[in-house]
Amino acid sequence: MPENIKRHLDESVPSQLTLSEVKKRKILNEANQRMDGRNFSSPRLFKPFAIGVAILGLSAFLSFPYIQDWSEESAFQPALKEPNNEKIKKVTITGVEYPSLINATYIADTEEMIVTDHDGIYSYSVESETKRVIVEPKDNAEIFELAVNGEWLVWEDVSTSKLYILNRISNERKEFSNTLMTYDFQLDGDTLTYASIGDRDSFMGYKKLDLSSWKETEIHELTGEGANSRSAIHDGLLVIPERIKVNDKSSVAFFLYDLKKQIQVGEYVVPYEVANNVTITNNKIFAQLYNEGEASRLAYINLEDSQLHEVNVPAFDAYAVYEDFVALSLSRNDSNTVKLFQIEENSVVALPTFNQIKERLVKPRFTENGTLVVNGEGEQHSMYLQDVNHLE
Amino acid sequence: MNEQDRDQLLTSAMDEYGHYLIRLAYAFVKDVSRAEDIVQEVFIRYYINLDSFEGRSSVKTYLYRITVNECHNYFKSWSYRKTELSSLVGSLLVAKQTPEEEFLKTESSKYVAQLVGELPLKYKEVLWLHYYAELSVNEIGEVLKCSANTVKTRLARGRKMARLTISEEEIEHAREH
Repeated sequence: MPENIKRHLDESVPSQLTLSEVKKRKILNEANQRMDGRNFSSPRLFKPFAIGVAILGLSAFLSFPYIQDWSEESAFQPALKEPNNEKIKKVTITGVEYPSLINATYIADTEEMIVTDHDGIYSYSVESETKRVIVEPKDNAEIFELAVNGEWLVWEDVSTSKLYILNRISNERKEFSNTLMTYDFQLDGDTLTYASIGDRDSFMGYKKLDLSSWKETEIHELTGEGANSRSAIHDGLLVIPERIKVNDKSSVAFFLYDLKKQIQVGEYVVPYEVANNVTITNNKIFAQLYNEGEASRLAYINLEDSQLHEVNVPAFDAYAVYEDFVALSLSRNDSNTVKLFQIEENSVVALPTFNQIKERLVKPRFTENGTLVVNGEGEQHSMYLQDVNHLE
Repeated sequence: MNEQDRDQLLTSAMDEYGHYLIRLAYAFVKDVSRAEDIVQEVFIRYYINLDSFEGRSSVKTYLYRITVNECHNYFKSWSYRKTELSSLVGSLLVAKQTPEEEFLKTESSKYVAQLVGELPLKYKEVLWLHYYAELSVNEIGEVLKCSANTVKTRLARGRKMARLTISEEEIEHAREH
């Protein structure tokens, strides 16, 4: 079949179209000239002035409705049209309570926001600004734990003691009886990981479920004294934090697993009592670390040298990190708001991304591909999306 | 690197990838002249950057990445928007096909390509890169600067939207490579 598809695709292109020897020589000449510093412009790039004027006129005509929209919206979101903010998307979902919005998950690939009101699960298309029901609401449902990506939705309904897994592409749905306590669902492609706590005799720890084969594997047995953070998953790596006692002093251990090989590939102990918001990105395990009564710090274990490195950041309440971008919730007057920074040599450089947004921003989180999501606390409870890969 | 080595590398790259790149560019922009311009720019940029090309990605993924980026840039340009407007006006003037014609069209081998061609760009490009350029999921991830999981999801959605029926073994093949 792939050969057939390739043939069908190839047949859709004019058969004579190829990079001819004449064209190759032309490219080589042009490359030589460009390399020599000569600036030749392609004749095709030259447009007669009249065409330019015509296009400008046409564009002004076609853009009139958008200009009109802009002037109507500008009263509510003036910052969005500032040059610095042109890539920020403002998402306003009406009819959804703020506690649900604050836990909304954004899927960049399908440009949708997934929210639950604990009765059902809903998708809001950022593109078409439409809502649709994914899981029909029930009056007595208790949905508190879910994980979602473009292909899968996993949720637990405590009221039915069932775990549900929906393939969002085929719409095939599976149900599993779930009398154990399960939590911390994480999805990475077709892999689901979750923690499971049962009775004294059953396995207590993290399991992996391969959603393409439905094969379940025990990954990590919990032996510590709990954790302040959920696990983190990224590109086939799972990191599980646990508070442990070392010489009668509390520390945090990070257990790192390669999910494909199903083996532990690292264990790192840091001399702090608490690790919040553990995140794995760019071959680093980040966490907000602190001891009770002390200020917190942002630090990471570099998986290349296994060392703990501290990032020099202003005092912060919450953070989110993706590669070398970090969003920090910083004090502002008697409150706080989110600012975006770039990490450079274990220090940070402020970016102007959210400077024009006046409402308080909270709950920064990144998607797996680098879209930062923050909730606004303005009247509309809008959310703001910024793909940091597109920052100039 | 001297000019002779540079010329040799460019010639080799054009011999190996030129045919596929120009056809891929055409598949996206649907304009022979524009596809030629894009591929010319791709190879010139490759030539100019040969010294700084550290081999972190293969020449193949590098060339495909620049081609896809150049196509994306074209879609943002006024030139493209003008063409789109003309096509829109043109399509309004063309009479609709009869059900019989629609049925016959589904039997045509061009129908697959047409369905793929009508997909949003993000699905169209992964299908072309996977089935036509024969790039692996990981290579497409490098080309499009996104994760392998995103590529897999787009492939799955793209296949469904284009009504491509792929056997389980082939899906496994896509997952593994």
